[in-house]
Amino acid sequence: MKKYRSVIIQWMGLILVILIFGIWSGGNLFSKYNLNSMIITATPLLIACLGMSFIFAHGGMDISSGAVVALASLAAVVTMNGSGSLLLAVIVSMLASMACYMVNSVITNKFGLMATITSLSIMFAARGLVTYICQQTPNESISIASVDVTLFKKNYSFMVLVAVIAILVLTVVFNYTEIGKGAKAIGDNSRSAGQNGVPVDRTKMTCYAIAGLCVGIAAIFKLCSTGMVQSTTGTGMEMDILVVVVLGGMSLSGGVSTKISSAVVGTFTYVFLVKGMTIIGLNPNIVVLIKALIFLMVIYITAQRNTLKTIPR
Amino acid sequence: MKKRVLAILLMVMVVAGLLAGCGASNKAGNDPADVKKVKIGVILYNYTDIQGKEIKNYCDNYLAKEFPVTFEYQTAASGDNEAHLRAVDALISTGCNAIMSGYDTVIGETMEKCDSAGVYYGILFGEAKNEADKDGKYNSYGNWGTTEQSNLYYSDYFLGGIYQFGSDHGYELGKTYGQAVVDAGVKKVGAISFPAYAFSDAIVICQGFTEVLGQAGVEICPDEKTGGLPAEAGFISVGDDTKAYIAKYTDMDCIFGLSSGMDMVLPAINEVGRLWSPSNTGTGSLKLASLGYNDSSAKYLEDGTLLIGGTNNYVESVAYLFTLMFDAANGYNMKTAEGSGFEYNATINYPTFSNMEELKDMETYMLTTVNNDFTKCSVSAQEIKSVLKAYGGSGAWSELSGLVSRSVAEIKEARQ
Repeated sequence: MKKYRSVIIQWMGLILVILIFGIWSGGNLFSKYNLNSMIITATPLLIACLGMSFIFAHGGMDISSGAVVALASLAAVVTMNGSGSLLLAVIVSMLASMACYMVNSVITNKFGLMATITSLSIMFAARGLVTYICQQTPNESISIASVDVTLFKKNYSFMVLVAVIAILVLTVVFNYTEIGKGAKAIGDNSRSAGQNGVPVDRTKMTCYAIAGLCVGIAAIFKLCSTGMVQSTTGTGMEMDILVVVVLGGMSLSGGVSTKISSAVVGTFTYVFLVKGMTIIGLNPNIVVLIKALIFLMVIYITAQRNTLKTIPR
Repeated sequence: MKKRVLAILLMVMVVAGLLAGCGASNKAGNDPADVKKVKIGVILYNYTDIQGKEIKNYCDNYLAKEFPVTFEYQTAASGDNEAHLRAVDALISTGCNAIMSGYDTVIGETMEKCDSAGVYYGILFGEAKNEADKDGKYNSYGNWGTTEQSNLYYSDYFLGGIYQFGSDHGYELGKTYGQAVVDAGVKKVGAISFPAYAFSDAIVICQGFTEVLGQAGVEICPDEKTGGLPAEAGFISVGDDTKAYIAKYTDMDCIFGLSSGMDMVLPAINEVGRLWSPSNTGTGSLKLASLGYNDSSAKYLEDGTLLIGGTNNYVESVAYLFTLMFDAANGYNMKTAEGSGFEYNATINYPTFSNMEELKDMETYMLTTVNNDFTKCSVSAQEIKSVLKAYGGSGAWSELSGLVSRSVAEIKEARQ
């Protein structure tokens, strides 16, 4: 029971949020529109967070996901409008995103640059490229032309299915394969993990590739929900991801205590919390403030916990 | 364990504490018993400039006290379509019956949300053109998107928009500005505006403007790309773009600021020391023709820096959409009602001022945050009720249209 205490607390937190806002909103939280709206918001966020968990597990950090979403969406919409193929656009989006994360991984791991600094560079490069290309168009944005994107935009069953598959597949990879176990071992102590046979560089690169893949899929959902790409696409997503994972109880310092379920429970808690606050008419600026406060609070608690329990490096 | 519980408790307390100050009261007044309480969402770029302040003041301090209506506000930064869609989503989630937006972009995507939620939508400052050609092609600015989205133009929930510069898209208005500039005796004139996709009427306004200048032999300072007026500025770089533009033309002696002339263009000219004033009259000092108004307009008009200014009649715009939305939410949709004579766009008045008397009248009969007297406002509750079916009014679009297109002089006459 003690083993599952933290997981139970996280899920209890989610239930508490749902109950509070469910009652406060007079049941409006569960209206058809709001449930659908939350599915649209949660699907890309959840998929991105699941992927990012692999980076956080090995002690890495990434703040480029919003800009990478913009770049991957741009690549996808250009492909879509050029080829008329949604499938090809999905593949291109994933490849573009993976390319960004692989560059991030190589620079961080081969040249020893801090992960935050590398992802900052990727963020500026990707955002700059998207802004420049969009500014060359008459509308400063590129819209999806004639391809039917209903599947990714309005088919809520499909969104739920993709999210469930992502949870199942990535949970297995995270908990039962060398990639996930290796990432957590690196997160605890990179040197001892290497000495115990974990291929550190390769594992880190695989983790970045998985994150890139997931962010690429998330980009397609984001693109289809707005129907266009512009310079502001994906803005703030990196912070949303960080808030989600810390809300789910994930340790940003990585290691064996990192749980992929944090991404799941964190996403749901975050989405219900934000939607709940919106429904009851809270000022949008206050919503942002609350997100920041929650982030700080959970980071503080997590840091205190890690100070007590961290394994010597 | 204790710390985790503490974290959750703190989180709940923070949220609860911040929520404690929330909540709104609504006074229904002497409304007919069967009039339904309506909630209307508003989306603007901000609520701190004259436009935002005027709209919020008229809604909260007048309409909400005269009708059973509450207003919810969301902000979406200029040009950020994703933020606009988030704002629409938030307003629908809060249970709004209708949404009026300052944006005239991403209408197709917005209408998909509104149509599916049964929420009425209208554009405060932009026309409901459907150059999607009704055959599914893109319009020139991509506002309607796909064929499926274009069909939402005909949705019962899309209530149209507004010609904010007249049905000629501002051609005559441009001529008025041109004449004021010519009358002031300036020799070389420039103009600067927002990106064309966001403010397409600026091109037409400048056509009228340059026609008058051309006839009077006044030289213009053309944009490098287009060879004509206006020069284009970015949303967030208006100041810098203005400085770069006027740096190219050192002998320019007047600029037509269409990208918020008073709030953005004038400060930029001032910062580089080229703003004309009684003590700065040398070559290169610039007078201003402003599409826009703020509380310093009187000062600059009086000293001769500002040749002509003007602004939308925000009250007329809000009153128009409010009337359509309030009645629609109460079961009478003017768009679909037989014999209502509904058209997709109403024309609001765009008053200009080139002397203190005109400015004073505009402030008294148009700007509720300046005169603080709703008995003189552009569209009164009684006038709105005369159209609202919910209050036994005519429900006629032509009557509503007439009500929201009055000039300042006509409003002044009606209030005396």
